[in-house]
Amino acid sequence: MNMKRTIVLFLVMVLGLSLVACQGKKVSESGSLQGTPSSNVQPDGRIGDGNTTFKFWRSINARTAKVMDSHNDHPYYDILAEATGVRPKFINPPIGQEEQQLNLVLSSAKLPDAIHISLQKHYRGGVDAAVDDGIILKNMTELIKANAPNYMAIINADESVRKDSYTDDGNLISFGAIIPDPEMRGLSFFGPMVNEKYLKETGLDAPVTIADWEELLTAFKENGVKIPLSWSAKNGLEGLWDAFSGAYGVPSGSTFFQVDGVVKYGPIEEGYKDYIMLMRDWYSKGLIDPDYVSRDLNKHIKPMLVSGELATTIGHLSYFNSLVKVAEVDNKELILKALPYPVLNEGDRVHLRHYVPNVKDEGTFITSSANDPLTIIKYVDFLYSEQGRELIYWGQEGITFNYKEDGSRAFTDYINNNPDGVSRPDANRQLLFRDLNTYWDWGDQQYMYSLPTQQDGWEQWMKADFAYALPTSMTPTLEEGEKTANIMSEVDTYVEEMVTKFIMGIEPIENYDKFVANIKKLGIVEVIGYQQSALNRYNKR
Amino acid sequence: MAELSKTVKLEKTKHKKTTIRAKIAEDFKKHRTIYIMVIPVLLYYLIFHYGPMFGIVIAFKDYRPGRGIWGSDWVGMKHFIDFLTSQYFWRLVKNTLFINFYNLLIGFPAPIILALLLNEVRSRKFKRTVQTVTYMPHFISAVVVAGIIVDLVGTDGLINDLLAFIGFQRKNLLAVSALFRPIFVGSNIWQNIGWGTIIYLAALSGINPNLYEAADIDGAGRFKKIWHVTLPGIAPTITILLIMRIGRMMHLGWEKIILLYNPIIYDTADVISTFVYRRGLEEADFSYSTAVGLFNAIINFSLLIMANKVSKKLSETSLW
Repeated sequence: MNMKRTIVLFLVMVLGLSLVACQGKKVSESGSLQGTPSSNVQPDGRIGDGNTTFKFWRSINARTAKVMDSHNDHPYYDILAEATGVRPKFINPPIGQEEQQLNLVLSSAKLPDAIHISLQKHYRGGVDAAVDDGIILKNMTELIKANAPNYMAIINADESVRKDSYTDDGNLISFGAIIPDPEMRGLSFFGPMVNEKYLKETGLDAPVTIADWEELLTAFKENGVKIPLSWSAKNGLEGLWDAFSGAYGVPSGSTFFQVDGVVKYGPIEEGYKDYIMLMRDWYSKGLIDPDYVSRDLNKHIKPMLVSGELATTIGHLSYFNSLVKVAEVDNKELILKALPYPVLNEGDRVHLRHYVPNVKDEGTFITSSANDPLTIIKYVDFLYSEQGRELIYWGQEGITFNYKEDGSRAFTDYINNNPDGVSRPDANRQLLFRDLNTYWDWGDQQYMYSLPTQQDGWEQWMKADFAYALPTSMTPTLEEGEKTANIMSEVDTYVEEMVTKFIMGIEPIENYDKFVANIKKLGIVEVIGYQQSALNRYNKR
Repeated sequence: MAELSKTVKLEKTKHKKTTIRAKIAEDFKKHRTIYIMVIPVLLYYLIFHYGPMFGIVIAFKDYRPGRGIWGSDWVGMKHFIDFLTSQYFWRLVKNTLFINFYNLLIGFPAPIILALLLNEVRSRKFKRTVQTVTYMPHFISAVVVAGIIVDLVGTDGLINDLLAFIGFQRKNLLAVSALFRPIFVGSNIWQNIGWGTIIYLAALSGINPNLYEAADIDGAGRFKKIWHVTLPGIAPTITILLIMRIGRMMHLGWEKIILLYNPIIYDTADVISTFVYRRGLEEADFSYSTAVGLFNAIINFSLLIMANKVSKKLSETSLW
C-alpha cells in the first residue's frame, strides 16, 4: 500500500517537473516579440502609476553587496520609486560572475526587460551585432532620442561626447553610461604612488625617469623594504595602467594603440622589448614582487601597502584617504605621495595613462522582450535629470548633505563619519544609490578628492597625456569583430604567458624575436588592419 | 498430410504472435510497479541527458544567442578545423591526456593498495578510524579543496615553510609548471583514496575464507596469499571500475584545474575542458567551445571502447 503511494507521489512530481519545463519553453518562444510602446504619462507627471515595473538586470557593487542581497532592498529604492512611480525589479548576478551570468541569460533566450552591462565588450560583435541579432530592441536608439530629453541634452552638448556615444551604424553605444562633467574629462584616477616615509629614508628625490626609479627601488631594497614594487596583476600587466611601458611609447599589456592615426599593437613594437627587458632586470634584482602574478588588489596590494611591506604601487586616487586612514587606526605610518608616470629622459612626455573616457561603454540596453520600453527609457532618463542626479550622488538635503554658502554641497556626518561605522567608500554605495550612477558629478568628485595629496595626484599624473589611446567607442563590424575575437583569444593567452615567462626569467630573452614572429603568425597583422579600418570610420564620423 | 502440416503451421504462427504480445502483457501485469518505476528514470534521462544532446548541433553552426539555434547560420566543420589547426591544439590534447594518464596510473591503484593494507589489519578499531579519516576529504567541495591547496603551496604556505627549513628557497609552487601535475594528482589521491577503498573492501569481504585456509595449508605466506587469493578475488571489480574510470577520463577534475591554474603554468595545466570553459563562458564563443567539447567527448568515447575491447581480450586469456 505504502509503496503504491510513494510511486504515485513520485510520478506526480515528475509530471509536474516536466510541465514546468514545457512551460519554460513556451515563454521563451514568445520572448522575441518586439515591445510595443504604450502611452504612459501619468496625471501627476510621474512616469509610472506607482506599480509600474520592469525587470532590470544589472550588477551590484561589492561594497553594496556587503549589506544587501539586491538593489530591491536599497534604502533609496523606495524614494526613487516614489519620485518616478516605477518600481523596477532588480536582478543582480552574483559578484564576480557577471560575465558568465550574462552569457547564460543571453543564451537562455529568457531576457529581462533591461540589462546594464558593456555589450561592446561582452557581446561578440558589440552593440550593432546585438541589435542585428534581435537581443536589443531594434528601434531602441530612435525611442531614446525621442523620449530621453535629459540624456540627449547631455550628449548633444559636446561634440566629442556625441561622437563617442554612437556606433558606426548609428546605434547608441549605451544608455545610462557614465559621462563625466566637462571639468572631469580626461582626468587620471590611477597612477604611480610611493610611501613617502620610505622615500624620505633613502634621501632621494621623487623619481622622474626610469633610471631614477631603479635607483630608488634599489635603495628601498637595501633599506630593508620587503617589496619595493608590486601591483594588482590579476588582469596581467594591464594593472600597471601603462606606467613604465609608457616611457617606451607602448602600452603595458596586450593592447592596441595609435600614433597619428596609425594603429599599432604593443608587444610587436620595438619599445616593448626594452620595456620587458627592464621588467626582467628588475625582477631578477628583486625590485619587483616575486609573486606579482597572483596579486589581488583587495587581498594583497592594499593590505601590503597599509602594513608597510610594499613601498610603491600603481594605485587609485582614493588610496590617499581610505588607506591612510586604515593605517592610522592601526597606528601605522602610511604617507602616500603621487609620482608622475616615469619617462625615459627628463623632459619627455608620456602619451599613455589612465584617463576618464568621455563615454563609458557600460550602459542600459532595452532588450527585445521588453513590454514597455518607454517606461524604461523614462526611468533611466530620470536618473540624468537634476533631481535624479542629486538623489544618486548626494541623497537628501538635511540627511546626507547640506548646501554651503557658496551654493556647493557638502556631505553631512551621516555620510562622512557614519554613526554606525559605515566607512566613507561603503557609505557611497550602501547609504547612497551610487550603483545607479550615470553622470559623473564634478562637484561630488571635487568634494571627495579634496585632500592636498589628492590634488597633487591629479597634477602629477596629468603630466602625461593619453594621445596614443584608441577611442573607446570605435566599432568594428560584425565580421571584423568576430575575426578579431578569434585571433585575439589565442594572442592574448600567448602574450600573457610569454611576457610573464620573460619577466620571471623562465624564457631566455634570445627567444624574443621568435615570440614576435609567432604573434605575427597567429594573425596579428590582420587584426591591426581591422582596427585601422574601424579607426578610420570613427575619424570620419 | 498437407492439411495437417498446414494447421500445424497456422497454429505455430498464431502461437508465436500471441506469445510476444502476451508475454509483454503478462510481464507488465506481473511487474506493473516495476514498469511504472522505470518511467521516471527514463524520463530523467530523456529530458536531462538525451534532450540537451540536440544542442550539439551548434558545433556546426555560427550560434548567435539572439537568433536561436535554428536561426543561426550553418558553418559545417569550420570550428573543428579552427581548433585542429590552433596553436594550442597539441598542447591541450597532450595536457589532457597526461594529467588524466597520471591520475589513472597513480590515482587508480592507490585505493586498491590501501584496501589491501586495511584488509591485513587485525584491529577493527584502527581499521575503522583509518577508513573514516581517509574518506572524509571526498565530501569537501572542489572550491574549498582548491583554497586549501593554494594556501598550502603559497610562498608563505606550510609546504614552503618545510622546504625553507631544509634550506630551499621559498617559491610559489603553483607558479612552476613542472609541479602542477604532481600537485594536482597528489591532491586528487588525498581526496579520493578513502572513498575508492570502500568498494574494494566490500569486494574483499566476499572472498571465500576457505581459500585462505587452503593457501595456509599449502604453506603460502602473507604476500603469496595476497597475490594468489586476494587479488584474483577482486580482479573483476578492478576491471569494471577501470573501464568506467577510463570512460570518464577526459572530464576528470576540470573544476579543480580552473580553480588552481594561472597563465604561467598553462603549458602543463591547460586542458581541453578548461579551454572550453574559457572560450565558451568567458568569451561567449558558444559554437567553438561546443565543437571542442564534442571533440573531447569523441576522444573519450573511443578510449572507452578501446579499454573495453582490451580488457575483454585480456580477461579471456585470463591474465589474472
